[in-house]
Amino acid sequence: MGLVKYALKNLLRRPATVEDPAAIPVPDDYRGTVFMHRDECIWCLRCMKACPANSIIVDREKEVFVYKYMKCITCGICEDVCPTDAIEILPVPREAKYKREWLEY
Amino acid sequence: MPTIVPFGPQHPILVEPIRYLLALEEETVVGVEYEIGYLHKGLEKAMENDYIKDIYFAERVCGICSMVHSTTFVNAVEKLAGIEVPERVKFIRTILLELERLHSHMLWLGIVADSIGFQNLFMLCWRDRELIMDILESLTGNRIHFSMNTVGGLRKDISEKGIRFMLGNLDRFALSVRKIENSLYNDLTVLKRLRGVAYLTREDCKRYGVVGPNARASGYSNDSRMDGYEAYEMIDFSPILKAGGDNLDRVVIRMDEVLQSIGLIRECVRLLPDGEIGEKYKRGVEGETFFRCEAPRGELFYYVRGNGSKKLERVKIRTPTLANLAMMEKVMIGLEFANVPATALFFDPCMSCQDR
Ligand code: SF4
Ligand code: SF4
Repeated sequence: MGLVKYALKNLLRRPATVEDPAAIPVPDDYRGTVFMHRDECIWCLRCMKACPANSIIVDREKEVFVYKYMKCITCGICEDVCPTDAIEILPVPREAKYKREWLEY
Repeated sequence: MPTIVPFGPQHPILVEPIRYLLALEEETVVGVEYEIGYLHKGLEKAMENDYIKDIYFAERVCGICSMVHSTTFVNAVEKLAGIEVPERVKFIRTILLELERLHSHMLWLGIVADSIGFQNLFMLCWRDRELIMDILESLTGNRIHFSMNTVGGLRKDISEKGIRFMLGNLDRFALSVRKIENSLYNDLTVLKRLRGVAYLTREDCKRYGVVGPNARASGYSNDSRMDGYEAYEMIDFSPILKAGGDNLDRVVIRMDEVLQSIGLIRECVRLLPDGEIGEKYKRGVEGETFFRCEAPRGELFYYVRGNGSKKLERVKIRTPTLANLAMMEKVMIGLEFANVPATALFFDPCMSCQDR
């Protein structure tokens, strides 16, 4: 009898898994994707010096700003040190990319 | 003439890359050797770097207990720099450390249940572990690598909403743990598989330098939390001890520790003071020191040396698995071959930490 009750209870329950990773609700301050507002950058190089994974390369003369997606460990230091809030970490889960070029932006 | 059977580094049951060479006579193990180093990453060398960056290296030594690594490292640097962190920081760190112990023990129980053929329990454990991961995610912003610690405090405070969510989830989790305990201790097969297997006495533990829950399951009290780092001196805490020293007691002690940790977290939340979460300090450390913390697997040790600049000269890490491996030789001899995979897992090896 106990077994039947248990089976019925489990049948009516929600599944423990979620189908689509994008459908998982994340908290507001989740550290997901690093996003750059290049026009706000003042080329102070603080983020490049602070990044523990060396995933940001900023060149003041040439005004290039490269962010390497695969190296980033989403620690959030760059967001903390940036004086102009040019770097923002959005609560969007990291996803697989289909092309190599998309890994650097 | 004994037969030599290799076991690992790649084995369906033993997920951790370690290679055992077992000498078998009939079905009984008569000799054992092991080989480590398959996961060497050179992290100690990489940590001869700016110590703020090192916190993130320390976190990544282990994929399960990242908080305890960063807390130990940060505490060592704080000790060197003479920084006293605010009380709120201590309590929040303690909460996170205990949450980490919860999810590590549940992960371990799942893998162990799988290794003795209890697939269903494996899924139940990992389902309930998700509750803890959700708590950690909502408190810190990430599931495994929290990036919360920094020298002199925390990078981020925890919110009221996060604490309420945590307490709710913990209640559900405690209920599930009771159910799991019930099904585990009343299962004849499990008891037969575990009772009296891989016996280790208190004296053996002392001689081989066993640490953590494995030592406490044999009645050898060694718990670094008794040193009173972070908030452990301010809350009522004493380690759980068992006298059995076999695989069954290794399960029982971890389940008891799970329930104890839930109690410690609730007490920390009750006592959580208001205040600052960071302390101002001058960069640069000089001298050498060490710090010990109780990781979920046992005592974790960090040695740090600085020369007055921002960069550290040397960091040495000793993880609990390295301390626990020595007694493998003792427990394996005399075992049935069928018990070897489970026993290799019962000591909760974490090769990622161990090889650094
Ligand atoms: S989140 Fe961390 S690793 Fe990623 S770019 Fe910023 S500082 Fe570097
Ligand atoms: S810290 Fe901010 S402003 Fe400075 S270089 Fe980086 S993105 Fe630009």
